[in-house]
Amino acid sequence: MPFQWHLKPIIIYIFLLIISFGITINAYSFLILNLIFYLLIHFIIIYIGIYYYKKFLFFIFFLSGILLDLSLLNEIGPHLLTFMILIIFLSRVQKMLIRFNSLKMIFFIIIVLFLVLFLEKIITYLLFNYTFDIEGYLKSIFLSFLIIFPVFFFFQKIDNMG
Amino acid sequence: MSERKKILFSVKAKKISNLFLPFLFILTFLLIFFNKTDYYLVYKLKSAGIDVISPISKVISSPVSIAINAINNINDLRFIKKENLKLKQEIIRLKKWQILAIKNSRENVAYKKLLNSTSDDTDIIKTALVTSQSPNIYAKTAIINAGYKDKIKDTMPVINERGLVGKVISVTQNNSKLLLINDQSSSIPVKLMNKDFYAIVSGSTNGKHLISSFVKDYYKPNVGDIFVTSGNGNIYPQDILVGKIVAVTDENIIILPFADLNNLEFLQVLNIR
Repeated sequence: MPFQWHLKPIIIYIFLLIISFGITINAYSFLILNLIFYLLIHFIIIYIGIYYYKKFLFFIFFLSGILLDLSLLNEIGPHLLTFMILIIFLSRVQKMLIRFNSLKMIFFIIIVLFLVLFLEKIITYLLFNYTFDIEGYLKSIFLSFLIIFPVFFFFQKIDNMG
Repeated sequence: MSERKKILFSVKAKKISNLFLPFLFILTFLLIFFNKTDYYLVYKLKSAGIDVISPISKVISSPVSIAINAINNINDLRFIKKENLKLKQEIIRLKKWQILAIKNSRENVAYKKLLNSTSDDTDIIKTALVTSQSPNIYAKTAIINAGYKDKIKDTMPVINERGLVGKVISVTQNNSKLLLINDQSSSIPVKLMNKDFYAIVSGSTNGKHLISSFVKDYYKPNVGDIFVTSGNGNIYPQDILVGKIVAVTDENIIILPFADLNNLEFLQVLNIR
């Protein structure tokens, strides 16, 4: 029964991931919308990596990385590599995270998010010579702070469904 | 007996799962390596991405697109009277230009006949519709609804009614992916319209402007000068409008592209003879 207990929210998260991905890769007249959903993809990836860690997540991370790379860069590398590093990192720190309270956990997720975004931009620069867009990175940080509390509130509601 | 089968099954599943993770990591590094070496397999994967990811994502995001279109339509309705007045003035202005253009076009045909000229070295292969466009997060790309079946090939230049838009980077049976000129990895050989000043321009990080990455002479052009394609490198044909200089610094020339790269609709794919 514990499998079923975890299954429902994780399916909702994967469903959310697919919707966010669809919205992220199509340009709209409100450019900020793409960035918000791009950040939401990262939030979901980190969140399920922490709270719903299972071996099949390696495959989800792998697929998300490839799809994001192909759609946003038309190359393969930055997202795929970052997500694979992220899942290994999260699998290693799982035991340490049990001792964290909710506030510490939020800070941990924010820090991991910034590191992930930073790593993606660095790898993009190293592999494909795209300049590190500091303005874009700062915009992402600012937007993350704006959306983090509504997102966590929404995620908690999904968790309670399980 | 069934208990033994269950144990055997769980042992097998564990073995497969233990092999699966290293396999994924090896695949990750292989894909990155093949991507850098332009391996055929990765090219096929990218092409498949155009045909599969784009239509699915279009369906998934259709409610958002509909909502945004509705908001835009309401906004347009607010300014409809002002817009109408502006368009009437524009029609009067364009009519004057039309008369001049027809006169110049006739003159051009006559002069070409006199010179026995064969300078027209480009063909329009296909006029296609932009089906989706990437956001300004990393690469600036667009997908059009024309592919191999319309005789489209890699590196073919793409224009619209305002000027140069980009080039084809990936083709499938029915769709093609374009790299827009405002992408950081694009390089366009350009020259000034009124002077023999050559440069190479590429996209900036903000995606709004083009920045010179190489300048041939020490001459400093003026703000307002117009850049057209120089034809060097034989990827873009000569004399296609690229953009207007909006700023000149000590290191760079900053250019505003003529084509509105955020609102692309109909594009023409060219073939250089």
